Amino acid sequence: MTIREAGAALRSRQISCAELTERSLDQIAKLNPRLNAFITVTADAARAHARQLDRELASGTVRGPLHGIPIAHKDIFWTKGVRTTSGSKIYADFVPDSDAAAVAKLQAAGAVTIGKTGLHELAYGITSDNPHFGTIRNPRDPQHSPGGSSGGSGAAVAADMAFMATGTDTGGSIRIPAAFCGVTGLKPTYGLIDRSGVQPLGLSLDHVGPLARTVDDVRLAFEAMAAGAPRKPALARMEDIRIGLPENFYFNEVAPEVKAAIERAARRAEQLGARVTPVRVPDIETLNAVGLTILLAEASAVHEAHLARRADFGADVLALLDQGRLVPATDYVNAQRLRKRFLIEFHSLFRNIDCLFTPAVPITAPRIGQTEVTLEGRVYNVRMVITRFARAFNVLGFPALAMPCGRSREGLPIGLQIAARPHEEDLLLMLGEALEEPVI
Amino acid sequence: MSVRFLPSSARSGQYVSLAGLKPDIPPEQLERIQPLVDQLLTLLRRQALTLAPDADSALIYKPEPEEQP
Repeated sequence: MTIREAGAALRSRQISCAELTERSLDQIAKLNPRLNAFITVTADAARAHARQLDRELASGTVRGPLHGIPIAHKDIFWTKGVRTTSGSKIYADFVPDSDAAAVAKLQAAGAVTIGKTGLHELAYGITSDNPHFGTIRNPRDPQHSPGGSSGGSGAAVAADMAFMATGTDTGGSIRIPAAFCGVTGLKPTYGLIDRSGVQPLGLSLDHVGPLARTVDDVRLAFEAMAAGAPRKPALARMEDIRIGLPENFYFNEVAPEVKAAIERAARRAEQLGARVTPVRVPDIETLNAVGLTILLAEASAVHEAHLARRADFGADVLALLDQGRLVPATDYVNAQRLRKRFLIEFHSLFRNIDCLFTPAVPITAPRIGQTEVTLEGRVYNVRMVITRFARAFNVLGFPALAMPCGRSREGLPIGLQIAARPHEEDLLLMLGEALEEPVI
Repeated sequence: MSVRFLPSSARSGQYVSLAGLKPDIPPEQLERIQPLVDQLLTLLRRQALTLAPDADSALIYKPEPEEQP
């Protein structure tokens, strides 16, 4: 069921907010022991809130399309009176005294919070294999990773535990789990959704956005989260849209099935009237190095106060935090200067196109614990491969949508990434809806 | 090409933090991560050499869309 369908059922009294919430809680009770998507389930608070929303409906008050819709928050968003662990031992007992701005907006829109989803420790990684709160599993195949860092949000949505879930994306952390779990995730323009009350990681790279099962669900959640933010209307017709299909980088060292699926999506867009143009993108390898340098330095600065507690960090996160301490200030500053130069280059590229089509991730979800992958005859580190296509749009601040576009022979979802100029989320959502396949 | 950025004391695993404010990175950890940082910064520095002195003075990042909506 989509958010729009559930909303219609609620307003026509075919179902109550309390019943809809109960369905989600039942699904969590049934599947969470296997998937570990949630760190905290706020069942009592959710039931009380749902009853209140039922009373509002009975009195004729409809807050909007999210009224009575059960949702979840990545456990890095502050929730008043509910512990917010950030997937970390350091924050395991932290109970905020206020809600994150995005949480407050979704609550004001009538969404019912059913719990807090698991994540890669401190959102600093892409496996969601968390040493403190356990391994999160992919609902499409529990032997595989859901991706990360918003792995619990991706899994919760894919397993029908929640209609949508919030996520954060510093180097792909919304788009990677969306791609691996076969759901849709939107990383909006940098700064578009208020990040206050969200535990930071990379101060100039962090983005907040929604994950949901359909593009329209993502749209409805995004509109609530970004209420009042500047937006640019989408081009009205497919015929007006110019899609850039990269000739370089984005189709190198990619699993053949992934490559074929993205090319099919581009052909489908062409059949719908869009113009598909081959383009050469700037040096993404260097742009990724720029982004990683900035991230290493910023994340270590953010967490410096706790670095004396070495035993309280997982080995992979500690290694990254230690790496950040080895980045000289001069290199951080020059990375920011290079970032500006890339921004100019990308704006120049986007004078000739409206969006880029790329794979969201070069591969489908790896098995849990898998460390290497072979592409075009060469062996690569899985973690490096997974963030390869996502990070650039964090560095640039451009919005990017990840959505399902087929499955591999193994039955694992393949993710398409569509990126556009700042503030053109509506274009991404319009294109996404046009290309969307039936919910898997 | 391997580029080393830390003082020799760090390379030998004897890195001492300022006034004890930061914990030392254990030598075995330093040995593991230093090549990764070197590799990253080597790529970055090659590009940084091409920056003009007046390339941009803005260090606080904003995406700065060409056209405001």
